[in-house]
Amino acid sequence: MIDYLRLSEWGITSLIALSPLVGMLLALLLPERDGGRAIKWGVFLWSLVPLGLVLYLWWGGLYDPNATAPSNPNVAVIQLVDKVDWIRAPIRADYFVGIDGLNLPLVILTAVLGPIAVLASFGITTNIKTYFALLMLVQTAMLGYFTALNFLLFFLFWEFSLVPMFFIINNWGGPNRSYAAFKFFVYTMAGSLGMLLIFQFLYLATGTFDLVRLARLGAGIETINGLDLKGLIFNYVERLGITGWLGTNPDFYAGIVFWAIFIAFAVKLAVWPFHTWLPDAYSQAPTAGSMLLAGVMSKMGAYGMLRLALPLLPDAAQEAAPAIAILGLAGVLLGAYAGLAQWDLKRLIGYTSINHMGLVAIGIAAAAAAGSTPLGVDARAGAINGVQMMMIGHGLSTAALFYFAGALYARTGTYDLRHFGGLRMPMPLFAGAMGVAMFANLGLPGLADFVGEFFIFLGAWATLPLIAVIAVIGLIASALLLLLMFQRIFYGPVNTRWLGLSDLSRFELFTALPLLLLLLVFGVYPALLLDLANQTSLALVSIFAR
Amino acid sequence: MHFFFEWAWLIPIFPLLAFVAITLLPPIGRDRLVSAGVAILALAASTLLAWGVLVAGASQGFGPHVAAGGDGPGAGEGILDFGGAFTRSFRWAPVGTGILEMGYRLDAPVALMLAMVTLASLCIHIFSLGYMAHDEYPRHHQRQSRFFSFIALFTAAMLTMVMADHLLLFFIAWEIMGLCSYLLIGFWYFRQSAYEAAKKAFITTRIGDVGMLLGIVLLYNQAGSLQFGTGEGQIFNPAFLERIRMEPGVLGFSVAAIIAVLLFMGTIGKSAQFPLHVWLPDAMEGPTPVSALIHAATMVAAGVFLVARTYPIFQVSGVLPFVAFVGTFTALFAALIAVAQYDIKRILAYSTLSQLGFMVAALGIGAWLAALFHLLTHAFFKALLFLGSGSVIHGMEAAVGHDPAKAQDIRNMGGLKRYMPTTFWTYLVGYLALAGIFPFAGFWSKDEILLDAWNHATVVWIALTIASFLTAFYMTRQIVVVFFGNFRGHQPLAATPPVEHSEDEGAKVHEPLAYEAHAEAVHGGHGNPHESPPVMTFPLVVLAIFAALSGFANAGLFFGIHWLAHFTGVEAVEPNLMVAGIATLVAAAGIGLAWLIYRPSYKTAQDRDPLAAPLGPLYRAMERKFGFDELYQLTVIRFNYALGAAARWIDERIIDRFVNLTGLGTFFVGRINFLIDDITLNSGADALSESTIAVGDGVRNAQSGKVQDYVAFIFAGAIILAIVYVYAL
Repeated sequence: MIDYLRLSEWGITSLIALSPLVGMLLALLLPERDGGRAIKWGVFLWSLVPLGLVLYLWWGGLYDPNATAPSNPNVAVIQLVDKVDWIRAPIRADYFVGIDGLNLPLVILTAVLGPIAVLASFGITTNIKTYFALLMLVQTAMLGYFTALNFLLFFLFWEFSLVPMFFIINNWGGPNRSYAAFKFFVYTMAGSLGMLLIFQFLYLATGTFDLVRLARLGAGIETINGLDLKGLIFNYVERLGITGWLGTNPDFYAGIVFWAIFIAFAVKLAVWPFHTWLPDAYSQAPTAGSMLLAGVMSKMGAYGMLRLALPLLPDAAQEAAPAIAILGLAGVLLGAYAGLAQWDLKRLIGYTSINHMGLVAIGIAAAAAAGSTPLGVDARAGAINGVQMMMIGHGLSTAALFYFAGALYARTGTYDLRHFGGLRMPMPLFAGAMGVAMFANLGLPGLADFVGEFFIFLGAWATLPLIAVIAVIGLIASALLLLLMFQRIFYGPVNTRWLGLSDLSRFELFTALPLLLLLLVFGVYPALLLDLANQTSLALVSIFAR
Repeated sequence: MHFFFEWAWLIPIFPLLAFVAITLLPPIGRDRLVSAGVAILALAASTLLAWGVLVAGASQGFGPHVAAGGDGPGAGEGILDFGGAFTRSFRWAPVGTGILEMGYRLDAPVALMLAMVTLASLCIHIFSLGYMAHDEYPRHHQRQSRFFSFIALFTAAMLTMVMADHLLLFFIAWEIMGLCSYLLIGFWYFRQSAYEAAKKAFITTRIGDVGMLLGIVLLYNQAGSLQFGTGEGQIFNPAFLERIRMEPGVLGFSVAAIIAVLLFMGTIGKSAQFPLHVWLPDAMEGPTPVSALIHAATMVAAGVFLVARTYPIFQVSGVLPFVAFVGTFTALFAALIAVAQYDIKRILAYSTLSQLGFMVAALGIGAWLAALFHLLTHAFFKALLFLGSGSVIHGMEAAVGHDPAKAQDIRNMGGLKRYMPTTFWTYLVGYLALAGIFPFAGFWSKDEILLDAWNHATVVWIALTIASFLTAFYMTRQIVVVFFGNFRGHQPLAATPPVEHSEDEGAKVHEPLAYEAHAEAVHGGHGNPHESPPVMTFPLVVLAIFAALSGFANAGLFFGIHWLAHFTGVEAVEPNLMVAGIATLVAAAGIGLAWLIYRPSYKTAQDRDPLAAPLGPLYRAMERKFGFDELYQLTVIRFNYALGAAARWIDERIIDRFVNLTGLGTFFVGRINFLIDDITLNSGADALSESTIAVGDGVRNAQSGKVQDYVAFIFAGAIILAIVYVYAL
């Protein structure tokens, strides 16, 4: 076996990724009586299975966060790999999944949010069977996406996450759900077309869909006929005879490949200006849909950039980094400011996501950008660690915010901030719990998002100082935005209409508490999570710190 | 005595545990007395430990004093190194090949701050027990318990910050204090003025904080660490300081200068220096013990302590004159405003701004010890004054009802000396300390600042002397108007609450609030003002003792005491009788002038201020705080909301329109394509119609609207596509 892969003994990775499918079967088979009680609890209990497996993976010593390849200390070992032949001829594609520092935090996030999203869906009353089946399907698609290491598999899961989410928005969403669902679906689909074409092209150029191998080719650790990925691309282009009229600069073609991949993920990450599907989709989706969309699916974009765009075309990424950072900066600023002008609670939370995902884009750009600093590779690795922490923190805090927004809607029947006010009086506990989520989202130290922010700025200052300086304005604006949101809901004199609202119920507390606790734990002691990611981050950025 | 050092980490942990216990354990949180008891006991334990640390440190030092070696060229010369220190740290996060460790550090300034913060905060906790007793809410709200949990967290954050051995931990605690101030200023969240003030405090300080964050990441990038200390890889390492002093940054400034300015932004926000001073007076919206906490023991002291803590960087940065300028300007500017305020707490608030200006100015002219000294003494007498004003307000409420606009207006007071003697005498001590009268604490610390200014920066000395005059003046005005003369509260001034600006109110109509009427009923009345209960006056007495005597820690003049200088390892400054004499004369002049002007004034609450007529427009400008709130409202805030509207417009009118048009265009192309197909393929292809009908039936079945069918089809479609990919390519 190759030394940068370590096979799993009993396929835990595949079990994690595919086990929600059993939940889907459960949903389809269990009887839909008594408001779907059996389905709801059955699916909830089953959704604890992937979570349990992930926790076992995390704490059971199955994963060694510091493993590097014996032959090259700059390569982190991908572990718990399941790799079997899938398609042999005429093209070759393996079923290939594995865990490393890049995807483990996100797998944890997905597995944690799974059961919580199920709990958040207990209020669903129509087509219960289908709804929960779709929810489990999304779960599998997301987990599969994060663990897949072969492009064909990766892309299959990518597209698969779209379909159930489309129906969840379209059939259980708000008043404008149809428009939102189509926009979400078509936008993402259109964005990923370029990536699909590019990977077919890459297959023709290299003969493999294996993402790990492609990354090694990209970094120049492995070569085919003495050529790295950029060379192979150019070689193939030459054979096609396009160079005659597009020039003979290899970087140009690498750039095209990079941007085609990048745009697919930028749409998913909602990088400005590809972000306008997001407020619609987030605000129209049912509560659990919003939680998963904001909590996990937007991270699929960032993950794709880290897994594909950066390692495959490091030179092009380095060249593109300032442009990416500027797009991220636009998202940070315009996201926060556009949020200031929103009156719909869920749209507003959506805009905070655009703001945060802008920071993620800046972090990714900072890790790749050219330049040398006294901290060297540590600043870049710090930026990637920051991106990871930001994704987890944002996933948890935004999911919590959407959960509370849904709970407010269930009580008041509105998302319009103009209708609230003074709710802290009848529901103090609710205000406190939502306050924790809000302050986490705002980047308060002691909660996870801040750690992400700090490390992203650490990296950004090292390589893109000007961007970092301007981006802090977004931190102020997003704080203002969130405080205004909180104030409009909870402060001021209470409208007598809402005096009778019930406070946070035990069930709601039970649902939201894991999110809030994790935010606190990761915020106070980030090593818990960052230790998992650090070695891989280091390996990822080692190509850029030349 | 290492016992105290080893267990010092418990000092912030006790109040933190109190916060957790009150918040999360219902049996504690349900009862206001139990919550208060838990918070007070926790803090008492911290106080004991903190004073133990101070005593142990004073008697045997904090550890070997590592001399800031002279290995670097010209390094370490006159650079502060804080003497010996005791540190413990733990691993916090990995950063690439390195790790980020943080922990706590005990040295002389830390021990002094710990002692001050715990003691002042303990007094404030005890005082709150009496002050908040009438704050009634529906039973399940546990508002008073919440109050105690918040002030405990506030204190825990301040203590953490003081003890931090790492600038990031310092920042974390710093921000959590920002959170606590937000929660406590907005404690009466149903009042618009309260939540607006809370938001203003948070956002204004955050403007400074993001600058500080940038400074921290820049420093980290340069030093590879954020650990305080002079050792290898630590941020006060002489060789490192020399490097950042020489290394050019941007615009001709050295890297050290950029770091220092960015860090100083944090101070400007947190210590409410000009131009970010606007939040502090509004912070009076919180309950009075909170004001005491913010103005004395925590929050604003943090900003000064930041500069004091990172002083070596400031020393090599060359930006100290800028620091001195900001401090001096604030000292003078805020003192002027204080002269023309009527709210008893607002006068004290502007006084705090002014005194913080003194400290910052002191740091700016190199008087590190004087700044720290003034920080400590000021904390005691300002906590005393704020709690005293709380006692006054508490007493006033008996006469004018539970209405801050009336109960806090000094024009409605007068003659309170008779009604509240203990409050009066303790307040008088605080007043004399603040005015800088021998031998009270403020005299010694302020004198030390003026002395350094006299020696090194004449302009600063002149400005601060004028500010001292104004301090004595406005404080005498307050004392005279509040405690002397006749009580005027029976015909109070009709309250005219300041107009609150709010861009975001929209068309919101609220039903009248039921709870406010309730509060009025419990705590209204039109009797005479009364003295506060012992639980409130006892802390006043304790603080008065410290306000009177704490100056003797460094009473150079006449007494030759240089304990503070010796303890912190800083060279003592030679006392100068002339400087002290001028300062005393100036203070006496301020007191005398104010006594002459205000003793005969204010026969009724409706009288105008005697200075209003002679000073004319200047007085009106001072009364309106020189219009900075309005200026920011018109510029910064309006600009931000306009940006918001613009950003939304871009999203909806440009980007989304483009997206929708693209979508429509695609549909349109699809339609044309379909028509072409239809015509070209179907014309004359009647033979196909049979099968078309059959397919149509199939399609009709497929469009059954059942999601599971769609999923199945799409799944099948994807598989077919995959097969096509696999075999057709």
